[in-house]
This record gives sequence, C-alpha cells and structure tokens, in this order.
Amino acid sequence: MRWIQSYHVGTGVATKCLRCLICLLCVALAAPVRGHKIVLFAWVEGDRVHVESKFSGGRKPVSAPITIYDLDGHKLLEGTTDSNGAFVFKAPAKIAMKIVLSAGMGHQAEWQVKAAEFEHSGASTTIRPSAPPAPDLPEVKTAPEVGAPLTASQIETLIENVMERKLRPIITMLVNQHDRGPRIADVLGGLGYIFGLVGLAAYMRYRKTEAKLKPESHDR
Amino acid sequence: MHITEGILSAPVLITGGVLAATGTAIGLKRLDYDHVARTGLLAAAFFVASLIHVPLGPTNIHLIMNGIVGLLLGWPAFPAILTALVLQAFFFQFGGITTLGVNTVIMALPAVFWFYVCAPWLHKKNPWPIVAAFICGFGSVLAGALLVALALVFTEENFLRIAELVVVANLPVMIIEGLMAAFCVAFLKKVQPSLLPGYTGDRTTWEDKP
Repeated sequence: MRWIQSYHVGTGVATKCLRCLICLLCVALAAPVRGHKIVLFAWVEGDRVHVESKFSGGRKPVSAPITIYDLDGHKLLEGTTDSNGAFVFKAPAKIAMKIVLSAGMGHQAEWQVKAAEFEHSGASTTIRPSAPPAPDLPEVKTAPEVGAPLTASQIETLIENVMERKLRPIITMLVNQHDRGPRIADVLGGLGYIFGLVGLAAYMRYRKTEAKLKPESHDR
Repeated sequence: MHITEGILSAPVLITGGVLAATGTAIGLKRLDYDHVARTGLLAAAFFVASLIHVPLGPTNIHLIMNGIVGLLLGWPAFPAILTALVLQAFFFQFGGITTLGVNTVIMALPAVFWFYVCAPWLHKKNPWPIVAAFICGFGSVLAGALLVALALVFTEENFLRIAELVVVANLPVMIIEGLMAAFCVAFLKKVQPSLLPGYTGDRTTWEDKP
C-alpha cells in the first residue's frame, strides 16, 4: 500500500511540474509581454537628426547617454535622451554617422544614418540657415499673401513643413513597428524546441534500452 | 542580465565561450536520461521566466530563475540555461549570439556554485532547507549581477560603480527569486522530496547513483 501511494506521487510529479509551468506561462502571457531589448530609431529632417529609443515593451530609457560617431569611429558629439527617450541634434556635417545608445548594464543599441538621407532632406538648410526651432512650429503661416509669386525655395519649404506634419504619425508608427516584442508564437515556439529536445533524448534512450533488450531497465 | 552584442571585447567573449563550453560539457556528462525531462522542464521555465517583467526599480528587469534551475539540476543547469538562452536570442532578441557564452556563464555559474553551497542543507531540519533555498535564489541573481559587472569592467572601467548599479537594479529580482526558491523547496519537500538533490530516501537520486 505504501508503495502504491508513493508510486502515485511519483507519476504525479510530472503533472505537477507541468502544471507549475503552465501557471508560469499564463502569468508570462497575461502580463504585458516585455523584454529589455533596446530599440533605437533615427531619421533626418533638414539638417537635424531625430533619435527615438525605447525598451521593447514601451518603457523609455531616460537620460541615457547617446554618442554619435562617424563611420571611422571618431566621436562627433554626445548627449543624453530626454524623458521620452528622444534626442535631437544638429548634424555637424552631412556624412554617414553611427548613433550608439547605451542604457548601462550591458544594454546597447545602434543605428546608422546614411549620408544619402541628408541629400534627400537637406535642401531646406539653404533656406533656413539659422537652425530653426522645433519642426512643428507654424512656419507655414509665414507664407506670402495670395497672388504674390512664390519662389521655388519657398514652395519647397512649405511642402517640407506640410510633409513633416503629415508624415509624423507614420514615422511614429514605423518606430513602433520596428520594436517587435516577443509574441505568443515566439514563446510557444521556444517551448516547443525545448520539449522537442527532451523528446529526442527520450527517443535515444528508448533506442538504447531496446538495443540492450533489458527487461528490468524500465523507468519508474 | 543579458549582455547585448557589440559591447564586450573579443577576449571577454572568448573567455566566456570557453567557460560556457566547459560547463556545458560537464553538465551533459552528468546528465543521464532519467533527468532529461526534468532538465527540459526547468529549461522551459527559465526560457519563459525572462518574459515576466518586474516593474520595480529604475531600469527594465525581469525574472531569471537561475537559482531554482541550479538548485534542482546542479551542473546540468549549464546545458539547460544555454539552450534557453539560444532560444531567447533567436525568438526574443535578448542578448545575442556572440555573447551567448558570456551570458551562459553569467547565469549558470552562480547557479552551480550555489547548488554546491545550498544543496547539503536541503535535507536538514526545518527551517534550514527554506533558508538555504532563499539564499540560493537570492545569491544566484546577486552573483550573476556581479559577473555582469565583471564582464563590463573591460569596457566601462569602474567595477564598483557598475557592480553597484547592476546589483541595486536587480535587488527586487533577488528578493522575489529567493522567495520563489524557498516556496518551491517547501512545496517539493512536502510532495516529492526525491526531486531535491542529495535525497537519500527509498529512491536513488543522481548524487548517489552508481
């Protein structure tokens, strides 16, 4: 009787372990799935470079040091992120550069800005050479009155301002999409691999015991 | 706790890789077929645990569970944690492929160390098993944090400053994992003490198997 009881407990252990694991899994999936990967994203507007960063899951690295290098590894400038994990700087030169954000404790992310990005959006620098303030300031209002002929550069400025405003949500969306946190499929996939490996080992054991043909080598 | 790519220098990465390979080899040698299922379950738990985010403290931290994995497995914690880290790197982009060795050492080495310190206390009278389990869970994260600082010394120079930062950030995790390990051991002692290492009851465990 004692033996039977202990046998029952023995078979129950696997179930218990599995049950614990399932509970753990439920907690993991119920809680907003967050990791601690850092996502860094930068784009060029005029002669300014906007950097946005966050931990995968949404938390923003606040006042984390950002360093800008050129492609040869020379330090161009340094700064820290604001409370939204963002950082804006005026490009010292229109060259390709590497943006490195380090949130400490072994967390680091990189993003490369290509020189071509300045080419495409750099025209406005000739119009507003004295570093304009925040891009969403109502510069559009300064458009000349109706009837006056617009110069090519004025039209360009207008279009650029409008585009900037229209594209902002899309850029934000891209930033969010770039941050692809772990999904349920990933979790299940990983668990599947682990259980698959266990199954492989069980299969190899089965092969071995079968080869030996030992009737007493049964497992509990 | 996962160090990402592009921070550590080559010597640190290589040292970590060699240590992790050695530990994994020892672990696989000690792992017999009877305990493969248990190792797999604990690897799965470790894999999932890092998704449980702890919303305390200044930075982003999550559960690690290396203490429990080590306490219940011993050396096979190395292959279990390595497997889980490979999958985390591929599926979640935690850590990285080049830092796999270093990260394995950071999490598995403390686990094995505290296994040797705490396992002998698991079959003493109460409350020693609970205390030992708490110390194992707490200490494994603490030692892991210190190893992170050690690995970062070669890039960030000031050991004490980094160590303080990492340890303070992970303090909530240490306490949570200590409590979790204590509950886990208390539970197993009640329902299935033979799962605990060093059990010398009516069933054999791997510590005393021929």
